[in-house]
Amino acid sequence: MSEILLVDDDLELCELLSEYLVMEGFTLSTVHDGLSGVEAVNTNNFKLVLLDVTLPKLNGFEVLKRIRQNTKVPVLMLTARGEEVDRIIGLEIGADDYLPKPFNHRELIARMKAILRRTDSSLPPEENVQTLNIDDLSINLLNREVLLTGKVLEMTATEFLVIKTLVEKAGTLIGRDELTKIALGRRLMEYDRAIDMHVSNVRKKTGPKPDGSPRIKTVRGSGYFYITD
Amino acid sequence: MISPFRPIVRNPLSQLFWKIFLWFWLAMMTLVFSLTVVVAFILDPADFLPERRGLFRELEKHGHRLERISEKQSRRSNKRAIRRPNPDLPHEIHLFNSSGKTTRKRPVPNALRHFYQQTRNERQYQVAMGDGLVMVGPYQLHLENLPHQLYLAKPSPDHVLRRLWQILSNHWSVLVTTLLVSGLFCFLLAAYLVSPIRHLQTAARRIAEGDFDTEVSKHVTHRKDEIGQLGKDFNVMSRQLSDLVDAQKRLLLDVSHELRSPLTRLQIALALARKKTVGGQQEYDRIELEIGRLDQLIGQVIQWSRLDNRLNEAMREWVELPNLLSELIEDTDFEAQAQDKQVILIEEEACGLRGNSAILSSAFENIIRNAIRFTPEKTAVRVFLSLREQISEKTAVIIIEDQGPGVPEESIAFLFNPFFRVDETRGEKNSGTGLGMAIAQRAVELHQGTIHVENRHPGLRVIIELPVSPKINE
Repeated sequence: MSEILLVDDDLELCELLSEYLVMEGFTLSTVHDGLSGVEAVNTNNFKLVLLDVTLPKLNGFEVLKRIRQNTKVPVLMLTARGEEVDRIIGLEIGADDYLPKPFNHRELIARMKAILRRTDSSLPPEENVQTLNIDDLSINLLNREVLLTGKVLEMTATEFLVIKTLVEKAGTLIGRDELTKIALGRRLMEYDRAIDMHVSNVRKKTGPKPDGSPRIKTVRGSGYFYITD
Repeated sequence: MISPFRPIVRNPLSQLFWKIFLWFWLAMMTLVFSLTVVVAFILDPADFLPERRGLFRELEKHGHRLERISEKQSRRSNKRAIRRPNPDLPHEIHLFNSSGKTTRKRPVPNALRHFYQQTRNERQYQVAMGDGLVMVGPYQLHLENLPHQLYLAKPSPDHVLRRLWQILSNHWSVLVTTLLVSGLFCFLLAAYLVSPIRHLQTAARRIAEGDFDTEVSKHVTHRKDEIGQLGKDFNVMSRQLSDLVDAQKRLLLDVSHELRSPLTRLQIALALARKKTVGGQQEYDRIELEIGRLDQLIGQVIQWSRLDNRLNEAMREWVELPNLLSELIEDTDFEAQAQDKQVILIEEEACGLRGNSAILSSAFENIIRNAIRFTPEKTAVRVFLSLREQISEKTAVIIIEDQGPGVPEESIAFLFNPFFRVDETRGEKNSGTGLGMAIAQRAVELHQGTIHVENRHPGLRVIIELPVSPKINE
């Protein structure tokens, strides 16, 4: 029996995702409209549902509402990017997470694994070290959560990798090329400023240290490090 | 954005209303005045009934007296009575005997003689003018059984201007009333013509400001004349415009949304390709970078087309500008440091406004990022926030300066056009989406502000002006 249900009306995407997720070690069933989605959830026992918002017959929110009447199966909603409203509605009516389209494959896998780890106790722990603690930050490596004085920070998978890497090697300089490789899974290109944006977002989300001093420092042109006292 | 309209005309005389009103009234006054002049010229007092009667009575009075005298004399059969000029007869009375001779020694004016010859046999009184005389007659009477004619010849009394003055002074109340009534009608006419034009003007302005749902009010469209028709056509036009703009926006949004599906598939296909092949990782990296850029571009297009022309009250909140800016500058400075550049806030002043902080923030962010991109390494982007007070309005002035190459003067006007690039080459430093400045402009305009750009040799200065509001404690 497959573990994951993908409800998306984009047939070609379903095909590509099936192939990719299988390579990543998941088993996947696909349906292409809202009604069959509800039916599939009701008749099978999935570990995770990937649910698109725009669906024929029954839209994603309606599907989610009907699913929630019977089961607590984790749902990862695939929304159109920038649709802040979609995200809020989705989370309100019981989605476990959301992922804006177009999504990066690494982001998808990271989120799926995070949800599964949170909900599936049968999954063995990946590493021995389960949390990293520094200052008022606490990084849970198992369910990929970053806590700032106990509050969960909302982070993308890339941002999670950035803060995790910086904290793991706190006090030492991590080059932009290295950070790009780790967080984005690719080499640093010429005029490639993507990693700077991600670090900037992480800095914005984590804020300064409790004493007001900066948390992350830039070394001109070369990289970043987490400031240790 | 610079308004394409000239400011509303303040000089009252150049307003259509006053033009119509004054011209029509002037025409009315001229008409009344010239009529009075014409009346004074053409009509002589002899033509006025009361004056004619006065003349006739005067003539009759003298006639009756002569008849009475002649009766008394005939009883006494005194023949000399008539031959001798009557000492009581005023000099303007002329008595003609049957042979056409006057009883006077003085010569008879030619005009009177002429008038006498024409009218001697008339039974009714005649009036004529000539030689500066008003002549009335004949009064037929018999003296010693002989027919005589009595004429009255008075000097034509009045000069034209005097007569005019007489009319004006005797009838001033009539004239003033005429002027007031005509003034009132001119006023009404001008108002009737101009008020719908004002409605149309307001509507046109609103459309130019981007409010395509504008309709001309019913006052105009209910009229059955050409102006009413113009109002109806105007409404049709504004609906058409509104539909077109909506369609364009929808298309842009739809296209952007539609682009996401293939982009998602491309992402997954790339992941599969990476898994399946060993070589070519560098090319895959490039593809992934470009996918990211494409995604960013689509996001900006959507953001730009969403920045509709109105900001409803629910989207407004109190925004402290210094807080917003200093936070933004901290973040962008952090990013700039990676490129060995800086962003510094030089000057700030406490002020705020009711608006949307996310939208405002994206405006400043886009401009600051642009500045970071173009300012050379080891230089700073400088930001100023100052407050300008004019009579009753306070304006926050935000200036963002870089030390880059600036922009050719001829390109400045196009800087806020979507996808406008000063340098046609892309890539390298020109790697922006081309929408940053357009988004900034729309965001500022949503807050009733203005944005413009000038060269500061070296570098570029972007000046944003936003009307600030006093803080209301909630």
